[in-house]
Amino acid sequence: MCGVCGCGDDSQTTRKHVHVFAQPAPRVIQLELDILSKNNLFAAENRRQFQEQAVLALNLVSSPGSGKTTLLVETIHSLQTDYAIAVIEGDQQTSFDAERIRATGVPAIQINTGKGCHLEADRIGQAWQNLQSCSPDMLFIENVGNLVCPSGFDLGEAHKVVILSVTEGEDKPLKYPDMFHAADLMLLNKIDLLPYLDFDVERCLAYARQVNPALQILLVSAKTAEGMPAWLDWIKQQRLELKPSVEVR
Amino acid sequence: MRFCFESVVAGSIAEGARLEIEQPEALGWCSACQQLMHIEQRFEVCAHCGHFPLEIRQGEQMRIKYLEVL
Repeated sequence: MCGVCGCGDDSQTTRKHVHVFAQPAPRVIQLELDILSKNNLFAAENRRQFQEQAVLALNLVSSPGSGKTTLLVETIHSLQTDYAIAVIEGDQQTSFDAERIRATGVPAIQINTGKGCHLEADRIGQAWQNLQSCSPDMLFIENVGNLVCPSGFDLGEAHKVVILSVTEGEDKPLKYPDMFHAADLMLLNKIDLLPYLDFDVERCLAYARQVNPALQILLVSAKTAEGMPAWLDWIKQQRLELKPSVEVR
Repeated sequence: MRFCFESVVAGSIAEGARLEIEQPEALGWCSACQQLMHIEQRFEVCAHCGHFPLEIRQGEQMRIKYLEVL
């Protein structure tokens, strides 16, 4: 409708005057949505399923090369006689890690994130659909090697476990604080290499606690098995707390 | 986000849309001396009493507040 004459003529001009069409008023649509809300919805559904089925889901996060997969393989070797285990592997490309896990006899699904730098909750939910028929007691999710983005994406896990290796330098907790803040447990890995490095363990732990005073910390070497019993005990304890009535098979 | 926005909206119904990002000040709360203060980093100690850690009260949120359709 013309804003000058009120006629119903939609043409721009008539002989009398230039028709002026009123601009529609800006429409404001209130959203107040968290940017990660969609991921968080999927994560909540994953968490509900894990809790309902008494599955301990751990999200292992670290930079590339921290020894996550070796640690996971050794962990599986130690736990697989007593617990049913399943693994979801996240990498940008290749299924190398899933193949290493499958060599232990445990089911593993590889997720290739392509251009993505982290795992997201809906992909975990899809992978879980294919793993839950194995009725696992524990699900280990090995995230993409990256100390930044995976900290912001809840996958529905019970705990994030951050793995830092002594070859990376003791200042990482301060340089990548979000990850150490989001984790409940930190594993300082490759401690067998300490005699060959200038890595200051006490300083590293102090930095980590500065970022997250509640952070539990264990020193391990997946290669020599030093410190591994405490890590295995921690896992078993989390599983017990998940379902106090469950008996170890 | 600003970098991606133009590419994402190009050729879509949102082509030409403007992205406005408000960055609220980061605020930490000290439970020891009960004060709210401006902070720059996650692991800062209380500027008044040295207590640690501070509870982050503002500045971590990433929310889509509203769409304004013209």
